[in-house]
Amino acid sequence: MVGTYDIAIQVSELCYVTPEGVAVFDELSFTLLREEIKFVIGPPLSGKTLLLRLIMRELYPTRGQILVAGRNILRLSPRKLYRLRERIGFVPYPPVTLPHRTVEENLRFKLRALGIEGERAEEGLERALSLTGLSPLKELHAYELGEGDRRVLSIAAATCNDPVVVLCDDPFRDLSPQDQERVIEALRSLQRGGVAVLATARDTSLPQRFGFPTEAVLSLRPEVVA
Amino acid sequence: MIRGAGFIFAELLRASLRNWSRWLVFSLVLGLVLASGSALALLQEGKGGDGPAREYWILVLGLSPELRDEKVNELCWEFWALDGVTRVSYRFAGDELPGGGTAEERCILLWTEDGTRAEELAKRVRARAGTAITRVDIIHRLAAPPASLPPLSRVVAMVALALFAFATLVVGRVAVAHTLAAWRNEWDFLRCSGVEPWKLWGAFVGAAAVWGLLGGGVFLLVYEGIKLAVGNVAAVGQIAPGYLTSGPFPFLVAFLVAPLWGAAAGGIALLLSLHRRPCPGGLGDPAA
Repeated sequence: MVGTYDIAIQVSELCYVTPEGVAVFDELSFTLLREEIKFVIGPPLSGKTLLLRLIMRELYPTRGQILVAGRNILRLSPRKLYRLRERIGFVPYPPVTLPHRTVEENLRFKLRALGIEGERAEEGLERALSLTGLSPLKELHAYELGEGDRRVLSIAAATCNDPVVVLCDDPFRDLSPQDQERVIEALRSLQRGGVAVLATARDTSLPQRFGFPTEAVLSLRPEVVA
Repeated sequence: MIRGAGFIFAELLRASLRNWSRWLVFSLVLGLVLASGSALALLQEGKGGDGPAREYWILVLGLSPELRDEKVNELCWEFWALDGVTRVSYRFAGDELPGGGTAEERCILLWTEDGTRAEELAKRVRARAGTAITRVDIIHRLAAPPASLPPLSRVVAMVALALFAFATLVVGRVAVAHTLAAWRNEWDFLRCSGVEPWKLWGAFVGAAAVWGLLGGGVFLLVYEGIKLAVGNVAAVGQIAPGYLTSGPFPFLVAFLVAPLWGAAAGGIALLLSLHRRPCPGGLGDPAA
């Protein structure tokens, strides 16, 4: 039996109509449990990034409901939204890192900017480094990392403040199969660590290639224009 | 909630130090805003600066050596009440007299600006004081007109204020744009991390306020320096009497107006710099 606490994200009957009148989602519903990875697969302009932005309330849906960690994000005050937003890790495409800081400094930068210090910061740092396998590279500057590791650093940065869920926007795009494998390993590690992951991808075969079941895939209609 | 805001501000301030030359120009231009604003507030527009010299007469009343101080004081008050007397003063023997020379004995000085009444006043003074006054000398003097500025000087100060205020926006825009470019990764990184936009804006506005404060400091140094240098020049007191007796005015300008104007200019510059700048992952302001 699944309780409310076990649900990271619940999207119900989501509809979004662009200002041009194009309906992007038609009653989209899905549930992402904690400790679950889900892939949102679709061609370019199918609304993958849009879905992530709706979950972060960067945009308002036309209809429907979005619960994150049991809270209806559409009803939160801006202040409460930002408190919740700190519990949503976001990995944009292209990933953003601080090239002239070390891996560790990248994570510390985020933690200090969020006002997380002391023991909690150390725990978050160690957890993010160990979950993503970046511990051996923590002294390297971000510009010294390979493309796959830099992508993983972006995932670590999204993870270091103990989020409920990490939203990854196209984390496999433009990566070699080896680097994709590296990113998948990091995401699996997050999942094992109790963090839900919602990742978008263009490649429809990707989840199957890495052994994910069909239930882990959410396909978006290709005809949509965002 | 201001968690982390101090850290972000300190980081941005460090980034602005890497662009110190542009920010320094911003500070100096802001100092010029303060200077022109102060000029507008303190300069007194002249009306008769190039008018004729003013004539006046001084009656030097030699006092009897036996006269007690109380009696001298009493006489002074009595003479002050006479028609045509505009000023009363006193000199000890050996003191300098107006227009040159020294007093040979204790004397009372009476000023009048009416030449036709100077002789008459001398007669009345002799009649009233009797033996208390040993002699009366009349000195005729011409006073230079008080120094003043042309009537347009305040308009010039106002135009300068507007120009320099606009210049701070332009220079501030350049400084903010370069700092933002150097801090672009940090900005995007923090936006993706869910940091509230006001903390990022606040850091920029705060940094601009600090640089504004520096401009205020420069203004204060120059203001006080000039006051030290020319404070005892009579013309300065005539042109800008408030300058020499301004009290806390320059400090208020330097420590309150300067950071406020710096912050406002920085905020406007940031608004212009961020206009149409794409955010990573298409992030906008979720609170909007």
